[in-house]
Amino acid sequence: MQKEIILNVEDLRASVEGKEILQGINFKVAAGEVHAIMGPNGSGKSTFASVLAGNPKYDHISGKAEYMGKDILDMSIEDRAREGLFLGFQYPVEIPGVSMSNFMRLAVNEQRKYRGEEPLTAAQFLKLMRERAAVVELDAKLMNRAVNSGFSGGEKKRNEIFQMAMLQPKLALLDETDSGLDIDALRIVATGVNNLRSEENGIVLITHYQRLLDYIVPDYVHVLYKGRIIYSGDKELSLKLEKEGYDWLIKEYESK
Amino acid sequence: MAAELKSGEMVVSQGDKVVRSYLMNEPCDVSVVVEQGAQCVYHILCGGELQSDVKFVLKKDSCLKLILVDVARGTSQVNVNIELADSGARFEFNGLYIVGRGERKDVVLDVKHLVADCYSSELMKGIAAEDGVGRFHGRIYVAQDAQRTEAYQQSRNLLLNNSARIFTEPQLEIYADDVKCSHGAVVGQIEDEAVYYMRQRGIDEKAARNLLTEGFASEIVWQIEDEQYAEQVHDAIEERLSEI
Ligand SMILES: Nc1ncnc2c1ncn2[C@@H]1O[C@H](COP(=O)(O)OP(=O)(O)O)[C@@H](O)[C@H]1O
Ligand SMILES: [Mg+2]
Repeated sequence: MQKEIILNVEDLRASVEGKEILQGINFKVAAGEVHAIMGPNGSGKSTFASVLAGNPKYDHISGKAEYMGKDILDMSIEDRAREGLFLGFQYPVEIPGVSMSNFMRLAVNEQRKYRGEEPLTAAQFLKLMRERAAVVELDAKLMNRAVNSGFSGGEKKRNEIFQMAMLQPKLALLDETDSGLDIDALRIVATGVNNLRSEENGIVLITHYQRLLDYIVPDYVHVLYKGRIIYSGDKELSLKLEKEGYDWLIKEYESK
Repeated sequence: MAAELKSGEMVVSQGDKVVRSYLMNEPCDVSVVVEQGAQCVYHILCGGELQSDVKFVLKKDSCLKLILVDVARGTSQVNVNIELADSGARFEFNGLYIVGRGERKDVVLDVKHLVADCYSSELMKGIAAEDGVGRFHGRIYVAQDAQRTEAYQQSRNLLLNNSARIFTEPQLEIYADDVKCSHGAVVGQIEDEAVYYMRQRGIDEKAARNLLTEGFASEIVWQIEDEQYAEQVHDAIEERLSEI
């Protein structure tokens, strides 16, 4: 049986502030797959994730992005999310005055409403929240604090994974969730991601480091450079990149 | 239940500890003496079009925490007058107003440090929507003899759209030389990044903006020391925000 295609991106071009950043991306994620996107700083990885999530700062120029067979570029940010697309932010945003628990309860219930499900009761929600916070070893006390306000760097990253665990997305795009984490935190984040991993879901890890991929073994590894995917391979590619850097790939690409 | 605030004079007796919660539904002229060593919390929730004067005199080592919330429909002005009249007195202020279409709200806070060794801190928050106009005038007066005064003022404001206006006017009159004093004012808008973040979690734009605005206001509600009353204030804020 053919695997369900979750994400299908063809020749996607997009700009920010009039500057073309994505210069024709082709990318496909089928159910059950984990993809890693690597590449030097400034190559457009976050831009790619932002365009898929619908960040209004980025403008679509041409090409398509289909999610579960639908054109997502036409959908509102919130509907993309409610359809199960999750972005773990490279820089999670602080939201003063809004508690984590209020924020997540609204998010979970909006998603349920969209699917025609009853909202969770306060007790059900609390139980779910405690369970999922435990998975990423996030102190339950943080749930009474304002979203990301005064969280440490590591807490912010684990909080992204916690939210992912709450929302159980169909497709998770994790933008450098591993950056700045020590080995312990990395292991916790990896546990959260591996818990989500299933035959039904797709996961895209944007990362700089091979080390995350020791914990979450990807099916495919891609290199994004100057707004294009210039090379794709398997886990071996990330090991080679770790040893040799990107230069050999970039030289090969630019000599073409 | 919160009581109606009426014009007249009140006293918080020496050494007393009280928490008083009021609804100010009509104009009034109130004057309160906080006697030596008394510690009190006054909550005032405004309920309509009015112009009112509220005055507190703080005696030796007394402490007043005042929370003033004006999120009612209509135009109003509240003048708050504080006299730190004897040493060791402490005053803490938390204020919030919301002003909407065709309305104007003024809060005039006058804090007088008349003697040495007193402390005051003020946080005023304003939210303006539509073509609403808000104004906070905060005077801090420190008399020549009021050495070792500490006086702090913060004014933080949120404009919900481009035609709303907020004026924030600090006025510092300091005649003593040994004082710690600071003031700051910010007038800003809701952060696009925060709205985007919330929408990425499935919350629609309007709900996200409301939650952020409520969050901005909630910092004041958290200061309320009467749970039932805090609930009432919270509901009043929520109701008002749903209209604007
Ligand atoms: N909001 C923005 N405003 C201006 N330029 C941007 C913005 N976001 C990204 N860029 C530019 O787009 C390019 C790609 O950035 P980004 O997608 O963040 O790369 P990566 O995530 O691979 O490090 C960079 O040149 C960056 O300066
Ligand atoms: Mg990036």
